Amino acid sequence: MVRVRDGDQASFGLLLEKHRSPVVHFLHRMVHNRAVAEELAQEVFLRVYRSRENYEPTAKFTTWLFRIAMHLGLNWIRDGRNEKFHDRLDDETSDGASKQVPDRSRTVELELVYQAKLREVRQAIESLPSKQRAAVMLHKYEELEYTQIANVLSCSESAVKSLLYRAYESLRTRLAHMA
Amino acid sequence: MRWRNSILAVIAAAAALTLVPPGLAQGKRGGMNRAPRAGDPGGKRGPQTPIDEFETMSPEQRQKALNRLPPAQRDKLQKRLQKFNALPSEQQQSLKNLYNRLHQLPPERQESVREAVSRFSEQSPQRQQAMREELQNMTNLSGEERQGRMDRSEFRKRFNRKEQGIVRDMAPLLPAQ
Amino acid sequence: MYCPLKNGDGAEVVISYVAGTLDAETDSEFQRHMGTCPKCRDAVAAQEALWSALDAWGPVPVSPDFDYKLFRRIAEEERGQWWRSLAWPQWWWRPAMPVAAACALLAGAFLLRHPAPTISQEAQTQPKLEIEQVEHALDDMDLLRQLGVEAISDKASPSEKI
Repeated sequence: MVRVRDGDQASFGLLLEKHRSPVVHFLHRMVHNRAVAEELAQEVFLRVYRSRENYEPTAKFTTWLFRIAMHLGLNWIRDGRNEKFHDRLDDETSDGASKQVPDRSRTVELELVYQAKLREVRQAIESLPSKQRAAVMLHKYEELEYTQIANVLSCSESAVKSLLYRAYESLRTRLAHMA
Repeated sequence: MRWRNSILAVIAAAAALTLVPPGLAQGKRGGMNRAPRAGDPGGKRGPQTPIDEFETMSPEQRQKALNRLPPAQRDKLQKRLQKFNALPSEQQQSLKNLYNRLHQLPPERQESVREAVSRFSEQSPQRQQAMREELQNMTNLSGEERQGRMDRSEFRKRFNRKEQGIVRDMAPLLPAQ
Repeated sequence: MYCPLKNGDGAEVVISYVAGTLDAETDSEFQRHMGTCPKCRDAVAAQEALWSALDAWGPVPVSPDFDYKLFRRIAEEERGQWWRSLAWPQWWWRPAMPVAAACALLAGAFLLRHPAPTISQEAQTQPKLEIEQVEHALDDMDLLRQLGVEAISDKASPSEKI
């Protein structure tokens, strides 16, 4: 990002290559709609690009990136537009086929089992309070460190540990039958 | 009043036509087509990477290929190529060898290697060096020996589980013995 | 090693262990401790089961034209900046509505009358190598450079014995 700030355009492409998928995946888990997630992710990178001249490497770049993503995701959810665009958790098209890309290496039966499991996991995470949900997504799926998560969520590191402890405990209870 | 609005409308419409975004006017390109980066199971490409192929095209063919990109992306690509070609030739060749080994793997394996390298780059320099040395030490081992080494407790003592995962996932980049 | 579950930091150690983020020494120590502590073993097993269940929620693929759309937005924004700097006088605002509608209609008519070349038409004139392949190759090269290429060279080097 420092190279982007200093005028190296090619480095922006590298940043995009590295962080595109994680940002889209994070936003998709927040907003549950792929098109919206990509739209928001584009906005994240647009903001990064716009801010390039003023960038100061005071913290890890990923922390800043996910802060922007979190902010945009929460704004979108709070705006209340999510009701119209929200993919239903059962995520089915009109002909009954699941929108989640099926793995062709699985049998139909296994695929159904997998989709049911996926629905349960999504519902379980969705049932968490928003900060716990965000902490789990950043910790489990984006593999951020505690300090980074604290920065993104604007809380202390010990608060993050507490959030994660409570979140995982709830999830363990709810998903115990999957063990 | 009406005629003035009509004239304004025509003027503004003419202006709008000149401002149609190039992407729209040129229609769908498909852009950076993220088709799966399939390996080369048939060995058709041989040791040549797409960069080698590009460099050996005629100037006209190269320009034709580049012209498919929007100007900003074209400039960016040309600068990146210049940067790559400015590397010492030994380093270029090492990278190309790594690239070819990566692309001999099935697509899912390629993705897991890429993710592992990404995770690797996020570790501290000291831990990167430790993992790098471990890979270096495994260069001359057979696949089985490498696996055996990574199963031993000494390996688990030297690296935490995340690092163990990174080393395991990057091991396919090592040359076959 | 003291039992983490008996002290205040048990949950954190278990979570970090399963996530693979403990430092090597603590990781190793905790593994040894688990050999003698069924409570910690059970806690780890439960967390590992959860971790595995959460893995079911895998990532969705990103659209192939994500980058293209982003660069287009950037280009449009940069183009829009000099256009806005012309500073339209305020009285232009009034006829804006019919003007905007006319713009949209005429722009649409223009596009319909001058359809873009189809991808298949373009494909016929393409060189065999896709330029995107070159971009992807460079992406991979940049990624692999992070490894410190000399470390994984093809040259033979004596293996350090463990």
